[in-house]
Amino acid sequence: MEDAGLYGDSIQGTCRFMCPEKEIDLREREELLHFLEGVKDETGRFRCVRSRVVKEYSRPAAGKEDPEPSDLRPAHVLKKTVDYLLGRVAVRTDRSWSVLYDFVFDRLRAVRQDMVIQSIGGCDGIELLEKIVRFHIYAGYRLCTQPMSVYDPQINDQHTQECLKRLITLYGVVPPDHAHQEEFESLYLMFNLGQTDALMHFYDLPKHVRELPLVGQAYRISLAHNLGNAVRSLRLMEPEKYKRYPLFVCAAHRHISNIQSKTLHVLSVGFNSKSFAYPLDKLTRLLWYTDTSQASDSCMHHGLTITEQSSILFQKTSFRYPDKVLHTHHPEIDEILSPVCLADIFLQGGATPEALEQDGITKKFGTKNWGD
Amino acid sequence: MAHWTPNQYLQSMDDALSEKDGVVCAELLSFNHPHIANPRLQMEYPESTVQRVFDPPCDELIAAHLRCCWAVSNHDFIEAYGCQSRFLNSLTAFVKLFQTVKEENWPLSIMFSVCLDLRLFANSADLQASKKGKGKPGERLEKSAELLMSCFRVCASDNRASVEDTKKWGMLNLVNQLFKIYFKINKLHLCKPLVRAIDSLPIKDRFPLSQQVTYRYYVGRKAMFDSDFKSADEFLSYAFERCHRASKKNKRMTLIYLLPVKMLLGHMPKQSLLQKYDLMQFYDVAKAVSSGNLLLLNEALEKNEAFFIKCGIYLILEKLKIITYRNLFKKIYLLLNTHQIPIKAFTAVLRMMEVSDIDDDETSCIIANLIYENKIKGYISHQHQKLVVSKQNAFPVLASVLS
Repeated sequence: MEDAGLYGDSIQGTCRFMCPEKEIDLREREELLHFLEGVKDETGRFRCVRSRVVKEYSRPAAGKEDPEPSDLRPAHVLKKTVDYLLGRVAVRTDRSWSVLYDFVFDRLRAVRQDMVIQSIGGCDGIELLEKIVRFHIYAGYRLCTQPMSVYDPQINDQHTQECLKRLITLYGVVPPDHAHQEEFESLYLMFNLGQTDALMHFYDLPKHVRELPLVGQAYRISLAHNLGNAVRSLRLMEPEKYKRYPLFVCAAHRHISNIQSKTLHVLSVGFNSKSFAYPLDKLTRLLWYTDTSQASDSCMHHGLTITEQSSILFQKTSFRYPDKVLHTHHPEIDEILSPVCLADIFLQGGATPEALEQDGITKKFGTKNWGD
Repeated sequence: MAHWTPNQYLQSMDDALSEKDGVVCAELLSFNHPHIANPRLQMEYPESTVQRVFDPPCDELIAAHLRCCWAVSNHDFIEAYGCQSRFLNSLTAFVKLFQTVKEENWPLSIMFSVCLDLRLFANSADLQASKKGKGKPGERLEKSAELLMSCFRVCASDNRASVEDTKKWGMLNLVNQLFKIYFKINKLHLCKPLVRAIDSLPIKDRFPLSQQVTYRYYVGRKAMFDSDFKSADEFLSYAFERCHRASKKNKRMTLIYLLPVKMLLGHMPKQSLLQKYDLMQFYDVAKAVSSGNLLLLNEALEKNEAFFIKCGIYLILEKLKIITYRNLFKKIYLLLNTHQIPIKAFTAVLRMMEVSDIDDDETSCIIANLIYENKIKGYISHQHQKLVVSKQNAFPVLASVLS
């Protein structure tokens, strides 16, 4: 389907609403409406509110008929749909957020499907994908502590990755000057912290993009991680530096537990000793543990011994990787998230050059010497 | 040849086919051969002419080739490829022909030439398209890779023929073509199954040397990308040493990847080698790494940034920083002449090297990593803020510890 635009003109949608009429009728008749899409009428029957019904994702399958133009929403309707989902639904506080997530996730997926079928790329594609990426990255942090039955991090990560990759590919082919490229190139690096592919992508970027402050910063953090320097990479991403830009840290959050594990392993070898211990409070600070009790839990989880003096006995023979990686929220990240209104995070990203200037990011991190 | 009538051309083709002369057939279907400049053979609609002499599936193959000659003569590679459908047909036609020839492998030469042209057209077509701002970069190359894969499958599954006649002899050539594409379109993960297929071949060491050199060049680069430096060293060294001495350009290309790998393993290149291959960009890098001079390393990287990025080795050169730390720390150890070195001493030197905002905690982290990777033998005592190194062989030879 993706190639449709190359071998002929791709189909153009004509649907003017967030959901094709056919689907609204069908789902109302078959009682397949989501509760976010309607209200109960006097008779107790659930009726749709047309302005709230959004096209569902439906899996492509063999034998399924090709969609009609009337089933597909053109770019401007898709934009309206995304703005509605992120600006009106995902920000609701009267429902559990995981419920909102499931709904928005599915409907955004349908948006992307419409984009692919109509080969919507260019600036429209960029604008849509940017907002979708923000949602997935935020969700990845917000729901990280939920059980698998509620939230599957792998699926969310997979979709984040797919959208990010498509987005940075578009930046590469659509003529330049994208207002948010700095934000998303850096999110891509942070989301793929320390990974060779992402670092290699960075080198392929035009020089002026590489030299954007936030992109350079993400590169330095990612490289430090790649070289095993956890202390540096964690220091560089201290949340309070990114107050105007909370997603920057959220994107890398999924790696924190692994960084902690790996670093405990390295320290167990480097500080290997039967008698000398390492202070717990220092470890707590270096590795972003909430407090010493969380740090000591984590150490014990990795087979390490805590002494009576609140110190860790690093021993390479006792270290083991736990079977299960636990993700936790970080108070510092919560702190930078809480003052920002959700709709702003999704729809504006929160990072304007002025805001960055105010936070001193430009000044603090020169563009030279990305290396160390 | 350049003045042949279509009939003369078709007759030569027919003779070659009936004599099963793969090499001549290959030439007659190659774009690296004078006949393509012959205007009389550049035919927009060659089908009826060809069908007078040939039966299916050969007719399709030859017709597609002549049509492609026509497209190429117009210098429009998008057309020549978007005439892709033609070329695509020619390849599928070839696969059909190829499959019907049981227990014989003489058409391999034809396949090599057709596949090579396909890849080159796809490449030129992508270039032309991107200049016109059309289409995704590399999309035709990607498509051509799929076609090459279909040839590959025919070759790989030819199990019944004897060793002399098996089509498996075509596998390495195709794999090399596919590598070229995958490296170009940045899909290195697709290389893995190909490597596995070649590895399990009993005849894998009996392919022509040139093919083996190319193969190891790419497998070496892949290993380097995967941070498997020992293998990268092995493959790239083979490619460098066995590459024909006249192919200086290829030797230089191999060296660009071999040098960083060798440096990671602790072997620094001689200046004469760098001069011979015009690779002096590496001179300061090597000097910085071996002397533990981080400052110089950063300078050298910055100075040749564009070159290193173009070659795709910037990241691996960044990794040399770890070796540079090791060499620097070894110097400090030798200088202080003690087995218990204060962490502070390392931090002070790192500050001199302008490592920004460094403190003892970060220094400890760097040292812990070096110990973890067996590059330093010893342990850190937090209480005493000291690195205690082994009395024997505190800094083992790098080649012995890197995997």
